[in-house]
Amino acid sequence: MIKEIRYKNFKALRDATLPLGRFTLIVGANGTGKTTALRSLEVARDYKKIEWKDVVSIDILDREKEPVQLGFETDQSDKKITWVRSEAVGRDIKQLNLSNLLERKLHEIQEKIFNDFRIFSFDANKIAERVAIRMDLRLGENGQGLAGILDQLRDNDPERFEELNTELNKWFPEYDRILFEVPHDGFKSFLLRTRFGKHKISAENLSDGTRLALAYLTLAYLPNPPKIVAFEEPEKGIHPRLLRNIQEAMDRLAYPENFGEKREPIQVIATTHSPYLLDLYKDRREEIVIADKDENGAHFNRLSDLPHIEEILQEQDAPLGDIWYSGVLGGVPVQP
Amino acid sequence: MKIAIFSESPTDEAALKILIEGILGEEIEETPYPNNLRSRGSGVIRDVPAVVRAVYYNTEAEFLVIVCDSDDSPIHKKEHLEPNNKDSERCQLCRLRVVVRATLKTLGSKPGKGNFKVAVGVTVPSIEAWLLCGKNPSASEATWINKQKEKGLNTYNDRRNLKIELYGAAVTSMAIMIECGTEAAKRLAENIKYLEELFPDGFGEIAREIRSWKK
Repeated sequence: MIKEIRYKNFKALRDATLPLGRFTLIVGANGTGKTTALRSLEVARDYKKIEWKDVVSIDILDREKEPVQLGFETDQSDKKITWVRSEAVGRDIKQLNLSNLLERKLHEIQEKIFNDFRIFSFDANKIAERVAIRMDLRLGENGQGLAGILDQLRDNDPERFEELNTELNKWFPEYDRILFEVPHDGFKSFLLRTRFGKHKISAENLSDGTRLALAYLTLAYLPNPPKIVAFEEPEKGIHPRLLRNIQEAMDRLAYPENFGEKREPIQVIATTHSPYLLDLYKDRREEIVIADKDENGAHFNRLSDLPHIEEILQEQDAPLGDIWYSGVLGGVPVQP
Repeated sequence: MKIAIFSESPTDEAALKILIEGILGEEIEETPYPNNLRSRGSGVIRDVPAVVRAVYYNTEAEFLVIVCDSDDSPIHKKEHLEPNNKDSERCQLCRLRVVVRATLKTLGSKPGKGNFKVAVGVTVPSIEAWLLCGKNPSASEATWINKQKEKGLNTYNDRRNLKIELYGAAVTSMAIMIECGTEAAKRLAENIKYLEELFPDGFGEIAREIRSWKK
């Protein structure tokens, strides 16, 4: 698990530290570095391909000697793993500024953690697309391939597939089962069967919200989900009351032992602009990170670390999302 | 009896129905909106006027039960009922009563609704404390009154610990929460007087009110 990421000259994150837990919900205005923070994990994964100019803060593009740094504190090592990329004048030198030992360590950790990292930003249309049947299918970051993933789950882990159907019925009582069809040779798509009437509704005829929710639900029920997953605005297209189910899907990934799962915990990072989603974390303040931006760039603060937070939040009638909206916690757009 | 319930979560809804049946000694016919009435977390009081009016005008409910968490608000005391008591302005139970009373006065006449009644209750500090009553010796209003005297109003960690005690974890599935909550409510429904004794204001008052409906 990554416990903390330290950013220096990394895009909008000139000098910032992101504290992370098994589950972290990042809230903040647009342009406060939430997505950039997640993308840093892609950099750690693909570090050999990354160019200095691709990741350096825009206002120091003319200062070639300023390095970009990402520091990862993990539970895999006592030492902080630092990724440094700098560019010398006139030459494109990509420098991994580490001792051999640390480089090997980084490689090990990279293999262990970063290679199995995915940022999911589901797209209802991609989720509904028919899928070419292959053995090595993975759920796409936009949800592409869901039919194939569900098909694999049914064949390889029928018990889990049944549990998924049961849970689907709780989320959407109008449906009782996931079915499949073969629209063309070598392709597969999914359908949902209505509880009453047993009508089969094809994926493309389901509502966007149903497709999106099914993608979250499926991911939560996979036997081997990616080790670190990030969700960009999981509230997109989802009814506010259904966000409790989305929360539960994310919790099943992050806290499997509390859901009767035997697998290792997955580290989950989500970003949100939804007061409704934030409401659900009223009693989980230490998992919320507020993203803000000032003249020194974007920065992050754990909600539970904000000064006098206990005094501010006690005796509130308003849901946490409303309090956040008011601006007293930060993480709201700055007015000119 | 046709009763609508308005609370904060599906766990509350499931447990409250059983506790109300325990108070009345009979099964109730819950007449909710098709998908239950539910507030956004701590927003119960804010939503009360609209909920009272909607249940009165748009449902067949004869009664409405409203329950919210006290969270970090001052716990209700008898002195709150004295004129100009300052704490009553911040007490959830007092405030709920004021809002309900004011809303009921605004209702127009409607055939068959002449005896429409509303009961309000406050879980101290959250429903998990009610549901642990009899299992955890410190689950009582007196405990929280003493805690507030010693440590102030902040119950954040206490609420978390109550969840861990009742559900086995602070973060768990809604199904587990409903299952544990339902099981605890069934146990308490057999011995409702005990809950009334240990939570005399938040639960005792609502129990007496609901019982009076039967008469």
